[in-house]
Amino acid sequence: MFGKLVKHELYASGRVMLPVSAVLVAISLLTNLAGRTLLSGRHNFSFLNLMCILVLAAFFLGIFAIGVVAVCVMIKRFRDSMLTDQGYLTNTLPVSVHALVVSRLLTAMIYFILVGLVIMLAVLLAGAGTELYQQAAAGIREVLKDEYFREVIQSAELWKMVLQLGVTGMLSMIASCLMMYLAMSIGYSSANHKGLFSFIAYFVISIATQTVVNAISLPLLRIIEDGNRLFALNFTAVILLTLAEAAIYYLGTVHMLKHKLNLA
Amino acid sequence: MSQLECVDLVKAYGGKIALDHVNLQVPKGKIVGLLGPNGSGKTTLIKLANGLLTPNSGQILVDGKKPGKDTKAIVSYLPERTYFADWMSVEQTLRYFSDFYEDFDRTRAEQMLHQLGIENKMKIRQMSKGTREKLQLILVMSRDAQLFLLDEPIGGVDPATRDYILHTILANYNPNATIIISTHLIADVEQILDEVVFIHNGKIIEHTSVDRIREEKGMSVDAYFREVFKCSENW
Repeated sequence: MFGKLVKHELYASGRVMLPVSAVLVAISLLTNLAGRTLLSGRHNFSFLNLMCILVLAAFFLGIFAIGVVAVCVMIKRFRDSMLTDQGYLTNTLPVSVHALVVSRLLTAMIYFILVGLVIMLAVLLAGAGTELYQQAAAGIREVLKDEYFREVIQSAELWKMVLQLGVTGMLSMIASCLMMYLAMSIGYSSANHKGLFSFIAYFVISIATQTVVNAISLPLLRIIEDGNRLFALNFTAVILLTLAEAAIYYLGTVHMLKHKLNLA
Repeated sequence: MSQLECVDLVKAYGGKIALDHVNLQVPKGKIVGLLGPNGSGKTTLIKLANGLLTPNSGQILVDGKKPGKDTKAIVSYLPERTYFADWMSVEQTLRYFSDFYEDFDRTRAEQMLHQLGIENKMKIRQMSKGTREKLQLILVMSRDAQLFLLDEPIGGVDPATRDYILHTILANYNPNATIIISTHLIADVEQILDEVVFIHNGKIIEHTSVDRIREEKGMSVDAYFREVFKCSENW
């Protein structure tokens, strides 16, 4: 059943996310063309130059917009499918509340990762073959030739740090997503002004989280003197704190959906 | 064992009592009308049976179990609202029901849709309110569920659609299943009911069979309902 929930969620979110991704890739190809035209300096038509600048602007705007769209789709899918009229169907499916929440979270994460990959692809496509791209590639090759950088890249410490950063980033995304789920679950449990109460709940949860995180992490920072140990401890502490944060948001969301669901 | 049982069930929204110490036993294999004026607690009772609400005290049991994953598999629920996303096509709604309900009979649903001229590629947003309600009813009644909970299935539709809905309910009725129909339009549904439950201000004020009303009171359910609620106006 969980697989079916994810399948339907991927489809529902994909209706928006896949065309938006395709548009960004298309704009990146146009950007490549526009970049080449502008850099060649062979065209003096002001209209053509203006069009090229507009395409470049659309590209940078598109990169920003796809991230915003991914967050909006994540919020809208949870709200629509769980807390509005569609909730009458979703919440009466023969599945657990855990399966409902996790399927939405997993789908959101899949699309966040997809957006990251699409942005990387778009940047590569936009610059491919241009002089700027070749210069950047040459610069990277130069850096890689450097003995010190090669040592750094081959060190286990660097990859450990990259892994820790990746885990921390992923957990932070999950926690942020769950924080919004919890805020919406609280806001939509009220009789009126559900959207407004969701915003208020979000800010209250954010402030409370920040206060608790500061209260826990500041004393830890003071007792560690050695720089390396501080760094290592920070990563472990951040991962543990984020995990705890995500767990609280998750349990809070499940509790609200199980006991305080208030479909209009 | 009763198909639906309420034991001293209380549900309040803030300070307002919606269901006040309700005790009710609905047997298997009956079509039961849950009848009462607007705001009497009918929808709250149905939502509690579906697990969409949690009781403040007392309990509600479906086939002897508290509402949850297991009971949702045997309950087919028709809410007052349109619960499909408007971008979905009829085909997608059929696939959705096939995926999640093992007892869903797709062939039966397609036959009924075909009779009404509702094509699989049609989108929800292209449908009129009546067609959306018919689609939902067809999907809900195409399940071989043990308990059907139909919340105001004939409210807000034209008489022709009303007839179609009642015909669909009867045509798909499995004698082993229980159907609970919540409505305040008694005259339209009383022809198909075995039992009636009168509910007012969150309290069950009468639970009896339709035959008994006709034999003992010598009146239709609709007339009896009017009489009972006329007396209870000052409650």
